[in-house]
Amino acid sequence: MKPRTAEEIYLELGDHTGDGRRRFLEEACGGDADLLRQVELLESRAAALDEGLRSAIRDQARCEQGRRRIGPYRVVRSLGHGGMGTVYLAVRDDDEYQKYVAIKVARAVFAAEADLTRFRHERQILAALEHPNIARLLEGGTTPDGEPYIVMEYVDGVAITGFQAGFEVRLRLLLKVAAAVEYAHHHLIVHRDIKPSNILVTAGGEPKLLDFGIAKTLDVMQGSAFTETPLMTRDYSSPEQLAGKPVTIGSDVFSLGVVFCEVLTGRRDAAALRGDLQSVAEKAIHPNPGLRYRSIREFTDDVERFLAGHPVWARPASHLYKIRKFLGRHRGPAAVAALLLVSVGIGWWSTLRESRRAQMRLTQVRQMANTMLFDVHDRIQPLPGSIEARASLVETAQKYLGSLESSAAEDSTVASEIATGYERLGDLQGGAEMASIGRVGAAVESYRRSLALRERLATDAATFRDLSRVQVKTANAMAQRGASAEAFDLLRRGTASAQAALRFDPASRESGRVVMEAEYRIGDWLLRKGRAAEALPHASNSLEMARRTGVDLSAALRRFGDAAHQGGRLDQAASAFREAAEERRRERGGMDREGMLLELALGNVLGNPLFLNMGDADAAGAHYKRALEWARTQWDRDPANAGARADYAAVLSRLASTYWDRNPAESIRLYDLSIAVRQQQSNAAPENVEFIRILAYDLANSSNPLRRAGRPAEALRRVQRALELDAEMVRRDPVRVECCSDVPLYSVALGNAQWTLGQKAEAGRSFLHAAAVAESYGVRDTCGVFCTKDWAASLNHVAAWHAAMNRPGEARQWVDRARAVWKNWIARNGSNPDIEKRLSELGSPLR
Amino acid sequence: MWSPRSIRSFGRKPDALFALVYSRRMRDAITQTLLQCAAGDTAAWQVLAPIVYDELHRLAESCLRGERRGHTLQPTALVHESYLRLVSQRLPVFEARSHFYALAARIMRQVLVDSARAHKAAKRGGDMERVGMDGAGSLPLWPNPMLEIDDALRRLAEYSREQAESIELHYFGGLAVAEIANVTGRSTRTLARELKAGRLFLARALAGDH
Repeated sequence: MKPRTAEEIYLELGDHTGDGRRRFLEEACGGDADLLRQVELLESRAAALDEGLRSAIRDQARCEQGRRRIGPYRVVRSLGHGGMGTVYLAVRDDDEYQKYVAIKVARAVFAAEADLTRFRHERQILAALEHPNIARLLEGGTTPDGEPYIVMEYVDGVAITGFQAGFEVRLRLLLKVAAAVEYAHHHLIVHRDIKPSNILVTAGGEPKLLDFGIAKTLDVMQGSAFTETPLMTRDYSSPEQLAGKPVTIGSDVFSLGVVFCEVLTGRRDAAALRGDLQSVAEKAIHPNPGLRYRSIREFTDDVERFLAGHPVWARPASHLYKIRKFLGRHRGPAAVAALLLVSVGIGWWSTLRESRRAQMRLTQVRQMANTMLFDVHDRIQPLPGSIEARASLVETAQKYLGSLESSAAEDSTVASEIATGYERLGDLQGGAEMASIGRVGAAVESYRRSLALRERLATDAATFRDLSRVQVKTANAMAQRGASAEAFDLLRRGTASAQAALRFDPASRESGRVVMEAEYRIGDWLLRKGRAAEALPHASNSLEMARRTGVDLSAALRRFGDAAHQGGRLDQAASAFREAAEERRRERGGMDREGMLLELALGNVLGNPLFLNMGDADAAGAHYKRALEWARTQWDRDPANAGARADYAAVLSRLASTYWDRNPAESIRLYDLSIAVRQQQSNAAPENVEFIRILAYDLANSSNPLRRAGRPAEALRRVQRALELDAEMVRRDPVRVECCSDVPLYSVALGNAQWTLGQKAEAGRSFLHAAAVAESYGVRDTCGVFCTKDWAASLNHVAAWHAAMNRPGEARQWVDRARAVWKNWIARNGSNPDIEKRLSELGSPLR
Repeated sequence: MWSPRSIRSFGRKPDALFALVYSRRMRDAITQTLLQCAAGDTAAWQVLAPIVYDELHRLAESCLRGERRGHTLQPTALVHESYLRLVSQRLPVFEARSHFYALAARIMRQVLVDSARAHKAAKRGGDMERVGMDGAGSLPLWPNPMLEIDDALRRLAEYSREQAESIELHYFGGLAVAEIANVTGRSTRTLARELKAGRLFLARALAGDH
């Protein structure tokens, strides 16, 4: 009845737990203690096997820590985990001697390219800190996964509060620490996290300050998460820091003051100190920053005076008093920026005064330029109405860079820094940045300077990536000004540089990202030139890189969708856009600019008559309206922002096109809004050919609803103006003729307006002109879908005109030509329902 | 239409453009094949296996090269990741998912054993080099547990194919008992018993009792 062997009992034990298990075992073993022990032994062996099997499998699949490498370092063990990531002890074992370092790897965060650039930059500044009492930042980098890391001198020591020594020794130790903090302040770096565990004392009695400025650097990557310091460190944070206000050198004075008290008395306040030293400590940790020591120097001066037996100073904090007054008058964002500038400025000037050496000055100028371009600019960028202030910052920084370039460009580190500075300058002056200040000419000039330096510096993966990035940016800015041939040449070189970077370092995500960008840009350029067939492989390469790296997938999908759309693959385009929109919503949890662009793209392919489309104007309108809502909000937020304005106009114009037939009056209203914005844009930057192009495009297209609304004369005037603008554009940028300019489209619109006005002969001439120009573009093998569409449309209009003039024979011939154009395109690219519809409508009369 | 042949060619050598343009359709096709597997079409397994092997191998490789975020990657996570990559994520059928995991479990074991062999070979070479350089003598070579486990599992399969299968699915694929039941068609009660028996067998085998 009952199982006989221990194994059988073990197997029958099943899911019994607790009391049920005990009852089952008692019954099964019948009081045989030996048998019971055997069953339990089997159970424990099975449990051990379970655990062993799991861990063996896990270990085999694990990236063993000993094999993990970060840059040239081999990880020995982890030193600890923290909110911001992991710290490893690592060794550089390709050296003759083994040198230990500590490596901080920031926790995996998605870092935008701009963040990474800034991170790298701040790291460079930190690397310039060379002080015997500061743990040196040796280098930094990014793992192939895109995690930024910082390599630091490894300090083997105890926290300063655990260091056993006499009172005066401890006091002198503190003075050394203070000197290190002061040194950093002169380099415009605020520690922000001074606490005993960051001040280690080596066996030789030397204090070493850790994490200098790291808190701030990592802050860039971590957003607000890192500023929420755990309870322990709050003991050392200044009141203003805890209140989330901007951190200045005053915060470091406070933190150091608390450490000062704790090291001397074991308490984190001044209560246990006596006499002068108590006054000194009280002044250092005064909750009101205005009544604190203004600098570390003042603090240590007083300590030294105490040691020398002199009375301590009791000066009023007149400088900070003034700043406080100033801030009282200018509350809000201006105050944030001003406080930052003032605290930075104090450090800078005091150093200039102290140092006579040119090298010192050079370093200071570098840091000043960097601070202007990165730190201050980025801090005020999100503030509404900050564009004016940013423009003046940029100009100042430019002067600094100019003076640097003439004096110190031989040093490759400095040269690289200057190149980054110029690149950043170009971004700000109106490169690709959304909220640009709108000065393309200056941007190209800045990029060129950066490029000249980068070309000299390119030797490995990282420097080739830098080169590629700048080449692409320069090309983009040039293309905006209309310098097409040169821009294209640069794009090709940019792609080559990116591929070079990838060859150096095939697994690198960063290199993959650069290839992605370069491939996209070259594809985009080809698309703009109507060369969809050539563009598609580039768009595919770019998407491949995005899928491989998992970075910017939604953008890559959109780009691929654009290429597919222009290649006439409507289904593929729509599904790429949808996937992209989903992906984007998931990434961002809502609408942003990329999301808006995707709504536009979906609208275009679903039912915009100016594109090959799926004929669903309602669906297109719904997507456009969603985009419009977002664009309007952005513009309202910062009316001076050129990018937001351009976005808003672009959406208006798309939406207008869906109303041509359905509601001409609404279409006209929307076009007029868009045209007004575009006219302003073009007035503000007359050198920008692209602004002229889109203005002309809106003017010409608005003739469609105008004619339908019974206003043909106005339609005619607008198209004529569009043609003038188009001619102006081609005059400025002759290479643009290579692609399809919009002359055929506009000439057809012109003919239509003339026909409606009863100018039959003129209309015929316009259609014929359209057909002739279209043919001259169309016979090139670069004729893309827009070109083909316009070509067929112009031939068809000539046919309709002949038919209307009672020449059916001629009309048939022209219809055949139009059909042949589409058939030729279909032979190369395949058909789709829109093209079939257009084919079936050939030969319909003029409207 | 997507034939098994075109899927297989995707698994082997993805033509970049092809794979990109049709990646979504490819996922759907793989999903379709998976549904066939779930419906008992054994030929469909032959189509999927090389694709899954490539994918898992690639994931494990990049893990071992230290390219992946974090430094441990559970096999279960690898299997799951390959699932997400290869299969249309809208796949609602629980059944098909467990079938994929079952396939992946088998392949996972192979990938890990392959990597253990490669690692062992590399280690030997490394030690010889060290002897040559400083004469410090070679370190003892510990047997790699993965290879021993593989060996023991093979012996278990000779003794009871079902037990070996359950163990494999459970440990290498991360399948819960209910999922294994779904794949194998055996009852959960039977499976629980098989797992227990399998553990005992392996415990003895690895302790050198057999």
